[in-house]
Amino acid sequence: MSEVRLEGIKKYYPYPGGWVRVLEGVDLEVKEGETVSIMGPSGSGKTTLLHIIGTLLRPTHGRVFIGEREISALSDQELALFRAHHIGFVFQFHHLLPEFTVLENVMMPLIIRGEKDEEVKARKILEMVGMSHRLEFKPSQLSGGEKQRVALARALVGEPKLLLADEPTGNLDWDSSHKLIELLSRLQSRLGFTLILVTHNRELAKKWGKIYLLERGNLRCYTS
Amino acid sequence: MKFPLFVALRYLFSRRKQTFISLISAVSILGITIGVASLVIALALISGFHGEIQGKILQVTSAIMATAPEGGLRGWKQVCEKIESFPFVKRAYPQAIYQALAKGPISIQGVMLRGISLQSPPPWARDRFRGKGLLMGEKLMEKLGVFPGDQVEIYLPRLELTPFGAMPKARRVLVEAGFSSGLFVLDSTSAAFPLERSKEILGEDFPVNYINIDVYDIYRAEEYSRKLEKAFPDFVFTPWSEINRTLFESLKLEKKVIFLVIALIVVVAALNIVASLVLLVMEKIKDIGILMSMGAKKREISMIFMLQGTLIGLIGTLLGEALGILVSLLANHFRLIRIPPDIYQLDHVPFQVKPLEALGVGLFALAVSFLSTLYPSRKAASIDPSEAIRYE
Repeated sequence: MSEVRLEGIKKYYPYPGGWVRVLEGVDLEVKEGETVSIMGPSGSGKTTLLHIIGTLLRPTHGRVFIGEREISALSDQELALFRAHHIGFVFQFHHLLPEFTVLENVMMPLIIRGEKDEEVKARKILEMVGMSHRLEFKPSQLSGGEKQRVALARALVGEPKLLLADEPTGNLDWDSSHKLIELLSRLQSRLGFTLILVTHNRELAKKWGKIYLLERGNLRCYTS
Repeated sequence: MKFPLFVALRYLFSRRKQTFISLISAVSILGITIGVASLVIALALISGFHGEIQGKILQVTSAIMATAPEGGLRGWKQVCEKIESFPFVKRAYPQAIYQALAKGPISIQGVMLRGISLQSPPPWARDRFRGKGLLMGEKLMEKLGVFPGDQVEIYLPRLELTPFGAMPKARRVLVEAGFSSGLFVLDSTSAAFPLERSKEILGEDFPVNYINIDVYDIYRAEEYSRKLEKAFPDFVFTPWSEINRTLFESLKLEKKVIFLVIALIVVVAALNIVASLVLLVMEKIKDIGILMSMGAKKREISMIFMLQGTLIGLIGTLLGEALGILVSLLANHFRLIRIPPDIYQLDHVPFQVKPLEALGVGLFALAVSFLSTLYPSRKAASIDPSEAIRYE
């Protein structure tokens, strides 16, 4: 069964005197538990595509299916609920909330969902990413690698079926990148989520299944 | 509610990267505090002044005064008995009020001669009549230059024929004692005599021209007056509030104007809330995008900023209420504001904090604070999460 299916996705942005055509009919199918890397030059629309899959952005044309549901037809309210329960995000720049501690940052998705055992679950996932010794630290007190591990814990605390990672190692040194990749790989084996990864890092892409190349608004399979 | 409140409280109390926003929030709280405190103090002042004046007026006048335009108060005893049969009437008693002139060693003054029934004297005249003279307001005695035991010449509102034509009747009358009612206008213009002995003292009969009516609930005096008017169509009944309508109306108007003017402080403080929230939304654009990526709904994002603005208003309101009540209590206790009694009937400004008024001020400040959150919170909710995450 496919976890993610894109059919003819187009995304145009208006600008004075015309349209910027970012995606020109993208089709993609990702199976449950599979990992797909999307590569491409800067400005090719990788993040736009990831945001469309993650329901943060609506396509100009085309349909998006996650699991059995066509999410491109949902209302904003329904999309928010869907994201809360099914999708996790990891960004290039950790994007941890600076006013909150590590524990609170990881609890946040569960607080949004209105769950009651948010602290227990947050502690558990932080233990899995090796950050249980920094629970009360603020993001500003962490190293780059630690921040990204906390961001990963936050993305996975709600046990999403789909994890979207936008250049997760883009802001890390080689050692931290390597550790994060190992961690991500281990967590995927353990939790079984589907992973769609946007990266410039060919080494990172090669570690997992399919690689797609996004160029001039079109997506083509680079290797499998 | 848990999620928006959790984030709003953290945004409010955490130290900011942009200290300017914290400063504006602090200024907003301070503004609301000052505005609310000023409103509480101003309303307490007017209420206290109003209450004190009202109390003093009611000490010297009755709740309702009845008179007959046709001069038909000869049967006043029966009328009093009938009026007293109404369940809301405490008592009804006669009074004669006439204008005259008094000549003392240093001046001539207009004087209000008040014939008071010895059966039911007002508090300031109780047990003060000794012999055959007048009980005179102390301020009036000062103006005339007379002391207890002196005599004054009273020119009565009666004419007598003299070789020079019709002249007001003049009598030399003993000033038996002075009185001080606390109401300046009474103390500086009135002289009282026992109604039953008017001929002995003033050489003339001064028939009863008013009936004073005391009631159990003075705040229903207007309603009672209407009821009595139905029962006694030949009489005119005037409640205390009507007798002093100009004064009380001006106090009410003053209260409204003061409220409107001082309320502007709260409104300006609320504009600071708008400014601080707009800046906060701009600072937190990326965080808003991240929260939306985690599944936060637009309504919840909007609520974070509504709660934050309302919390600023709530803190300012509570501090303002506390400050306003404290200052009012202190000002009352230490009689901080002294005023000339010949103008205001009082020697200091009394403060009376009415719980309902204080509550009203609080609700007003909270409502204004809440309204000031609407624009920034809508702005926050309209942020596109995809753009927000990419925002640099």
